Amino acid sequence: MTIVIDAHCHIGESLYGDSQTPDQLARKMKKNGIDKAIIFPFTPADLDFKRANDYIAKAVKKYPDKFVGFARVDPRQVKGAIAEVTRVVKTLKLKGVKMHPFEQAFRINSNLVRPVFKKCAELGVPVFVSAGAPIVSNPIQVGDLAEGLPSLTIIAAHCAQMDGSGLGQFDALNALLENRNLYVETSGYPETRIDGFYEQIKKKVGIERLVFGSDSPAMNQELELMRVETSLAGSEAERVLGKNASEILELDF
Amino acid sequence: MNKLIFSLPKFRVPLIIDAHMHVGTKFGWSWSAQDALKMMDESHIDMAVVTGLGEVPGENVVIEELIRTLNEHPDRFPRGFLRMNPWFGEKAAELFEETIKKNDNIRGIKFHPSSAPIWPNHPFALTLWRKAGEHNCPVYIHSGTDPMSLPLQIGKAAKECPETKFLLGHYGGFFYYEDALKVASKYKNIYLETSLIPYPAAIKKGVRLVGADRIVFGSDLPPLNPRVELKKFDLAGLTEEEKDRILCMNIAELLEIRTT
Repeated sequence: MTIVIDAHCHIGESLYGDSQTPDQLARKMKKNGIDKAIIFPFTPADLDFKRANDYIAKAVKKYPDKFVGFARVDPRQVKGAIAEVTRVVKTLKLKGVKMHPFEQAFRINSNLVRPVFKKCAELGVPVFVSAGAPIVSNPIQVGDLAEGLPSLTIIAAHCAQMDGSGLGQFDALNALLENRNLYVETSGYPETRIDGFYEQIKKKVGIERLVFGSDSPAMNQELELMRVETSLAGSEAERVLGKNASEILELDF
Repeated sequence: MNKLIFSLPKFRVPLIIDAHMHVGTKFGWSWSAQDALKMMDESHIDMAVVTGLGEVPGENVVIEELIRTLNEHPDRFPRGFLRMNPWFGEKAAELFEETIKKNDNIRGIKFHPSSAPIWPNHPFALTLWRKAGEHNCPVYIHSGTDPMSLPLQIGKAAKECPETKFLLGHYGGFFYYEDALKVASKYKNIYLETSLIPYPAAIKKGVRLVGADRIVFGSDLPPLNPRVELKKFDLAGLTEEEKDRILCMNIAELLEIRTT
């Protein structure tokens, strides 16, 4: 029985204009044959992540079989972010923390924000980070964060690269090779036919380190699913489409 | 329940012409015409505009490779773009002119600022773009990678060379598609090429702001996956006529490719 898990979905309203309700995502998932999704907030216009996290918890209550809830914090707030991470794990029972170095304007491997990542490690919850943006979250920086916190499970979006020249591959692959606590997620990353990144992951690192995600609704869930389904087959596809995520999240089926 | 299958695009325009793909060799990479044709067949791409992996002036084998590829498969590869290094300025312009005078099916320039790092609007580059414009040859510029392939830079080049048409490759990429839409709206000699950008909604927005006549489909195979690149058009909410323009007629008219 294969399970498809979309590791990268947003619920709520974004200050950039996007929005997605729990019902909309549930319908989308049904249409696209997706069983579960990791959901977390956008950056809301009022910057109130607490309220947005409460909304995630409500969404999970409405669709407990479909949604796995992650909270979102701004780690620049350090003390406040640590308090919120503790609250969402202990009280809201959310399963992980999402952070966005580009939108919340922090360097992912900076000393300022490290205590927040450390707290997640202590609480035993994974972090999902948007990654691949210059200056704040390029792949070598993501690797640096992973190296400093080997007990923290990190899922880096977009294969840790948002570089249309393929110039991020070298650092991204090294980051994966050097840090077994690092995983990468597929949304938006154009799998290549020359020195393909998925191929290199398979050969050098292990296909267990790649998870499917869509970045819904900014990116198109159907397109992102197709991206993976046309690149992988058989047991490798099963791993990337759901098995790897279910192991990271320790879901029982 | 997941489906470990995918569907080919649901539409069927008369012809699909890929405005941007590669055949060639460079360093360890080798991508043959046969490899490319196989991927095109699988995706129902009828014809393609071919470019190579190395740059001239410099790697002159690139010219021979391109000529051979075009001449061996004229029905599938009716046109080629010469990949060039604009640092050579006037010399590059001369080489381009010489090449197209001898080869009627080479009709444009491909410029990738990551492999030939120079600003799209640098004076040396402008010299080359002007030469291309003199001969009615468009210039394809990869966009979206800092610091030298920004749509705003390509916009400045388009402003300086009003007689030259520019294909703004990858639609601005991950971060810069709003800049791409801005310069394409402003400068009518810019066309937006659709490969790589993962936002089908941006294509729809482009049709509204720039018009379906100045958007062209490219797959960028390899490295990119033509099935995924084509699937965007199922999801972008376009009319059949808009798809026909973007997938076939715009590039056909630009490069005088026969579609009947």
